[in-house]
Amino acid sequence: MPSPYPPLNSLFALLPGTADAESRAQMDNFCHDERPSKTGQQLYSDRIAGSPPITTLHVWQQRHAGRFLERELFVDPGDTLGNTPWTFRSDNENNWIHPHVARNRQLVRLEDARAVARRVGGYPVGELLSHIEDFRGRDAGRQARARAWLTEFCAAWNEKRDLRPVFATYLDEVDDLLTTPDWADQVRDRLGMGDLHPPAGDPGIPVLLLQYTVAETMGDGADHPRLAVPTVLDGTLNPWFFPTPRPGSRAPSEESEGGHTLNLNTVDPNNYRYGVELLHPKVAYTPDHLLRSGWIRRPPGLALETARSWHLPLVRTYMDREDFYGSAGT
Amino acid sequence: MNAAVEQWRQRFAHDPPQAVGDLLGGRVYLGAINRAEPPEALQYALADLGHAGQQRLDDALLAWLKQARQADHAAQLGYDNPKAFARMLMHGFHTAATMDLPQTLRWMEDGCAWREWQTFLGEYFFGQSCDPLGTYYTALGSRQQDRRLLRLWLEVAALSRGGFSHYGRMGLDGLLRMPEQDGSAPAGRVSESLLVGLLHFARGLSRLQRTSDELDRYVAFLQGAYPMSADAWTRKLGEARQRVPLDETATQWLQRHFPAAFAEHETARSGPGALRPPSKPEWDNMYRRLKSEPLTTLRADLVPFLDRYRQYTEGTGDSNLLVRSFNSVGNAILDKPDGTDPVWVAELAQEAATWEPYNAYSWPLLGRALDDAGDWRRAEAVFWQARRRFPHNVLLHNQLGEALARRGETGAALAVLDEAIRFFPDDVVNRVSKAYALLWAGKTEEALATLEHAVRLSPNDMAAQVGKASLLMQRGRLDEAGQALEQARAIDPKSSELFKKERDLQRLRQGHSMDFHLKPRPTGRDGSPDTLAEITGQDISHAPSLGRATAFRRTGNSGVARANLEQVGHPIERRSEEGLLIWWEKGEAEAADYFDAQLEHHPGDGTLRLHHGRACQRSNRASVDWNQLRARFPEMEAVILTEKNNGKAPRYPVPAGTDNRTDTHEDRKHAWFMQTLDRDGALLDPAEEELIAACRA
Repeated sequence: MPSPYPPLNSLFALLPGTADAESRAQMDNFCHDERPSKTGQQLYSDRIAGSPPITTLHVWQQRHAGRFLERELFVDPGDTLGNTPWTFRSDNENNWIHPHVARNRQLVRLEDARAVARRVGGYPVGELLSHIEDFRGRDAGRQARARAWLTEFCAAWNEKRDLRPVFATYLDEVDDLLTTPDWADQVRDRLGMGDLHPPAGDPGIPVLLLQYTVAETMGDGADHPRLAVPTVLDGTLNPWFFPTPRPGSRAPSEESEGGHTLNLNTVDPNNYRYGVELLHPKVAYTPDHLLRSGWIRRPPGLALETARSWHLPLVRTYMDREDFYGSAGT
Repeated sequence: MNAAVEQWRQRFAHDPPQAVGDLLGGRVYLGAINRAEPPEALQYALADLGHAGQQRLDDALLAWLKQARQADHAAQLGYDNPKAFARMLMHGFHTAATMDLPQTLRWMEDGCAWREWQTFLGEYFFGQSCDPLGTYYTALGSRQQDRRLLRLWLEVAALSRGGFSHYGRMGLDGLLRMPEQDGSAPAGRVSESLLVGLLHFARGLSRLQRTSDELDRYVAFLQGAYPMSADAWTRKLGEARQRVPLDETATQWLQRHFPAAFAEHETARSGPGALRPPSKPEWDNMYRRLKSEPLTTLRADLVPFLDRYRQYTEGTGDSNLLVRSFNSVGNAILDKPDGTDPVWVAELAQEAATWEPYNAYSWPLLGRALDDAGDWRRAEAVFWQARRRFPHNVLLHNQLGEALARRGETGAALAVLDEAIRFFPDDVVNRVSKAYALLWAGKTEEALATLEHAVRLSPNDMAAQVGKASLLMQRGRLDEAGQALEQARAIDPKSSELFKKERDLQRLRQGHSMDFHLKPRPTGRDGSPDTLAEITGQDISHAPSLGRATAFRRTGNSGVARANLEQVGHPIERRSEEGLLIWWEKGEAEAADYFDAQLEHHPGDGTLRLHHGRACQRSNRASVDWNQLRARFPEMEAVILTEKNNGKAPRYPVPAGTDNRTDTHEDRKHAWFMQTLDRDGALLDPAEEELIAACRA
């Protein structure tokens, strides 16, 4: 299976046939994602090349995370490459979303609350969730105390975040789910976030839902939004990611609004609809962005292989790209 | 469980520490959960093993962290990117707290462990979002079972090591989450020690000339999240004020938030139940007894008396009185002519230094007690390290030089004392010590000439006059000795030293002989310097060789310097000193190349980075972004600003005096640096080197 990344070819030659579904998905993503530019492909290849050659997924993972993500994506202010993660450099311009997106359009993002609480300062998750509940509640006294607590929390959180691109979706892509009691499970599934998978016997995964406008992603001084369709070069190796093809001539124009996610919430392949995801630059969170908290309690609704096999035909049709992905998945 | 996780489980069964390290370091592909962060991935991967799995993870993580701590640098662990190394450590610390791994957490809480990590990581800059030290603090803060971390939080809140302001907030968060008593839950309210920490934080920000932004934010948080009446704030802060001396700026900042508590007319006050240390009359009484009673009879009262300082300090976080009283008691015990106990004194000094390791008070006592106990190995390491940590403290230069001379190491002693004379030309004490060093090495005439020079420089110095008299007595020039003692009498007729020398002179005049030879120092109780890690943050076995290498380099004896350098085991200290030696031998351009090459191994290291910048600047090799260095290594700000201003030190306030509690050793260090450069611009390089070295020591 040839890929546009020569250092991966020895691995890709070895694995098919023996690889499990997740590993195959991982390789497929890198073989079929046509969005990264030549410069991006070259940069990635340069970063992951080296001795020994990549012949296992572990070595690939190590190079991808340690050499590519740390240097090109998870950048900090003052890093050598001028504070800009790969996603928002001009060499990735062909994946940027049209700048005419309405500034007041609402975006939402689902965060794993355990990781957030831990990163911010070892705050117990329960404390964070109850403060959000108080903040969104009606008791003015509790609300004021929660605001003070969350203001400090958000400030510390912002300080500890690097400049990596942030995955989000439009509120109108998931708002039909937010009135249900299991909204967190459903949003996870709609956005194809299969890695949020509570182990058996576990009480679940606490999550936060953040909401903000497109305008708030622009930062000071920017005259238009910087939003992008995600590609394999925009995050960790993740078999739940599915590349979004470039549209064919008869594709609807909405594709310019984001990439397409697997939908794990589908029971009937004939009613399959994909989720939408996009990337934006870091937003400095405030308590007002913390829309609600909840729990993911179920495993993903669909197995990875099934979800991918249902997703591909729809994408081909919708994007007018029957040639996308070659013969894989058919 | 997916295939990739199953594969990792097999590795975990075979080599648990390595498997855990690989997972933390992002070197394992985990299939469907590959995006999960390591604590969650581990939770998922080990879910079915229950308690046994958690226990094995605990063992493995502890073993792996110990191994990581011993690593010379990231590359040694297989990381070619320091950020990846930092992230792996962060995941390790997070995992211990998230998965509540008791063994690893206990080890992390241990005073030696956190001090060592502080020292190891404190000098590195990995990137704004990559802060393993901050992660360590937050992981510890979230799982406190008892009050053993009180010292750590107070120190962090006070910004004792300089550095980033936001660490102060971490210290305060640690205090906020600390149980009120061992074994109880966190108080959920504003405790006494938290307010002491808050005042320390204000004082730290003011001392480091930072803005009050972080303080304002934290106060707003406390007031909002833990509401209390204005009177309660005033009363509680009144108690805290008694324990933390504040400068004018810090007082003004706090006054904005708590006008009643910090109003000018408001005197500090204590509530009825407040913890109190022994009173002044109690202290005076005990000190009088210390001077007059033998230790054997006094010990039974002294031990519980000192315990009261411990209880007060542990309850309030105010360590000032403990440090001062332990030091005074220790010195009084060592001075007792009728029997002393240097081993106990060393324990007291170490305890005091553990509370305030960045306060120079306890170090001289610790060195002296170890030396008197015959533990020269540790004493010497303490003397050298103290001299390095507190370059502004003349006593520590002097004590080191004199101790080396007493142990017969004349070359090193003279190198140290000659340098001390350059740094402190007006302080006669180093010239007197140099004279004794020469005398003990049999160079009597040189010794006498040195003393005569000292007397000419400072005719009213008692030590110089008495020293001169002593030397003259030894040379048999009794009349001249008598004249010197007459002059000493004019300076201080009540001096006990004068009285002793007059008695010696009288005995010599009566024809008695006296033994002027140096008495042999006690030996045979050498301990290992790594037992001092709780105050030093590292094994300081390398300190004597490193100190000698620096001292001999500066006296131009590069051969001896290099021989000593080869004994230095600490990788970064060795490389820094090697670079400076190359600078001295071959010039700054060669040194710049050398430092450049070393930064390949230690890209985030502040010491190497700064020396590299200095060498580049001097040799016009490359332009240096001093602003960026200042943002990354704020604790080295004084040197950075001086380089940026072409050798002109920034203006620092001059401390009011050694007894002024609002002046810290950090203030004194900066004032010394500024005054040294004002007096003699030729000392720019050694003074900058001293300041850089002090940050790591």
